[in-house]
This record gives sequence, C-alpha cells and structure tokens, in this order.
Amino acid sequence: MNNQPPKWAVRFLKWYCNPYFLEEIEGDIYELFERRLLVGSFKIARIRFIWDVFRFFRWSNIKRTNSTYRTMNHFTLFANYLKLGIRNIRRDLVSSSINIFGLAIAICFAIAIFIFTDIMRNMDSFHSNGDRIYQVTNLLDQDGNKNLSGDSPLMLAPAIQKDHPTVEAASRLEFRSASVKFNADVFDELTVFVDPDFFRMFDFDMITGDRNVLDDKSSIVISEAKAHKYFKAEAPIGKEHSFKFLNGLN
Amino acid sequence: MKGTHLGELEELVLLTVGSLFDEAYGVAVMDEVKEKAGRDMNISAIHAVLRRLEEKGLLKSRMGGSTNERGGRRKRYFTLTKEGKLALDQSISLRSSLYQRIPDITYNFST
Repeated sequence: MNNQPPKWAVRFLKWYCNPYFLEEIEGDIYELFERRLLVGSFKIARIRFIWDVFRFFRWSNIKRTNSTYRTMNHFTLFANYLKLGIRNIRRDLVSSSINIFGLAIAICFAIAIFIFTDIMRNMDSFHSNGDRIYQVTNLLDQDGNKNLSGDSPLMLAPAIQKDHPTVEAASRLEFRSASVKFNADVFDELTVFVDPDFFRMFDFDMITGDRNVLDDKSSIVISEAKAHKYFKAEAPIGKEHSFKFLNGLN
Repeated sequence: MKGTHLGELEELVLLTVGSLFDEAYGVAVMDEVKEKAGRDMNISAIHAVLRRLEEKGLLKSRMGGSTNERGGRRKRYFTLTKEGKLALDQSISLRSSLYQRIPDITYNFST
C-alpha cells in the first residue's frame, strides 16, 4: 500500500482553495498526515486527512479576493480619478458647464433621433401587407392656407373601390365613445367602427373566433384585456353586449 | 475591517505566536496550544484565527524557504507586529489591574 493521502481529496482542496493560501494549507495538512502515519494506521491517517480537507472548506479559504493580500487597491484609484474629475470641473466652472450642457443636449438628440427612426422603421411592421396599405389624407386649401388632415369623407371608401379597380380593399375607421353594458356592468369605452375588409388588410391576430366576423354587422371584436374585464374567465364568444352612443344611437 | 477587539482564542493564539517567536506556523501553533492550554483544535481553526489576526494588523507573515519535508511545500511563518505586542500588553495590564482590585475579603467568603 502506498502511503499517500487520497488523490481526490487533494484535488478537491486544490479546486476550492484560494491559490494564495493553497501552499501553506496543503503543507500543514500533509505534515499532520505524515505525523499520524508514524503513530497510527494508514486508514485513520487517511480519514483524518479527508476530515481536515473538509474542515478547511470555508469561505475565507475559498474566496479569491482578500483585503490584506490584494496587490493593488483598484477602488482607491477609482476614487482618485473621481476626485481629480471634480477638481478639474471646479477649476473652470464656465467652460465645464458649457461642455456638460452641450453633451447633455447632444445625448438628448441622439436618443430622440433613435426613438424617432425606430418608430419610423418598425412601427406596425408585422402587417404582411404593410407596404400596400395607404392612409388617405385630406389637403384642404382654405384661402391659401394649406391644411393637411388625416381624415377623409366617409363616402370615399365605397366610391374609390367602385371607380378604381387597383384598390383591392378599403376600410374606414370611425371612433365613437360609448357606454357598454354587459349584465349589470356598465363601462365607458372608446369604440371603433370599421369595414368588413379591415381584418383582410391588417394582420391582427385573433385569439379565438372567425376572422370574417365583421361581415355580420351585429358583431364586435374586443381585445383580450377587455374580454377579461367583462367576462372574467368565461369564454367571450356568443355573449351579448348592449351599446349606447353619445349621440343617442343604440 | 472588523474592530480591533481581541477575542479569547485570538489572545491565546497571539500569545502562542509571540512565545514561539520565529517558528510560529500553523501546525506548530496548534501543537503549542494543545500542549500549554490543553485545547485540541483543528488546524483549519488555527489558520482562520491567524489570518484574522493578520488582517487586524497584529501579526505579519512571510513564507519560509522550501525544504524536503511536507513534500517541498513552504510554511507561512507569523511574527508579532508592534501593534500585536501592544495589544497583548494592554490586555495583560488590564487583567492584572482588575485582579489587583479583588478585595481579600472575597477569598474569605469563597472558602
């Protein structure tokens, strides 16, 4: 039998121990091991060796940073940089405040431009027909004052579909506030009227139900949040709402 | 860093290191504590105390030369610093000054 301590225990010690302390710890354990070999059996010395390895398994021996043994104190150096920076700013307050103000403005503009281009490039880009959908705008010439607005006459959609075969589909959007009643609950909501072509033009995902539901004038489409609001956990399909609009329509 | 208060075990180890003078490393300190104070301590506990004392600035350490024993691994030798000696002086003078003030009458009651 070779009188050596178990290899796996030595390997474990070398693995967890901070390299800085490894030599002294290993040396002391070895010395005790050899001494125990002289007085007792190999088996007992071996068990005591393993026990010692586990007793040294404590955080102060494992952690790799140590306030006393670190060769350079980085934190103090960073604190020094900070102090020098503050002193340089104070030495010439006018020019440094101009610099800081200018930098702040520049960063503001950079962020604003980033947000703007992000919206321009990516807003609603999930619609597969996005490049073929256009909004009709309205340019009014009021005695030389040109006013651009996003709305157009309601009758335009059916007329343009009839007269121009290049228009494949058209949908009008009309916003109305309404009081919505379901059972005993009444809420004020903003509702939108659209043409049946709406879901053929835009790719909004339907969670449940038929995409052609808008062909039926008495049906509505609601968001998931609204479904939870009115029906809680119940299935929303087939339920009945009653609407009351501000101009008196029902 | 924690306070410079000296614990009981720390004081014992500090005294041992001082008495071993130039030969104080982990196993030697452990043997000395066992022999003089009769306390059987694990080597890892000795290491922890020695390192704590060094962080408190009461001990300083150096690596010894490489020898054939311990598989060629070097020992870390500890020696008292000036602060360490001062801390020992203070704690011993505090003990003896308190001890002097124990009235003799106490012994009469305890017998």
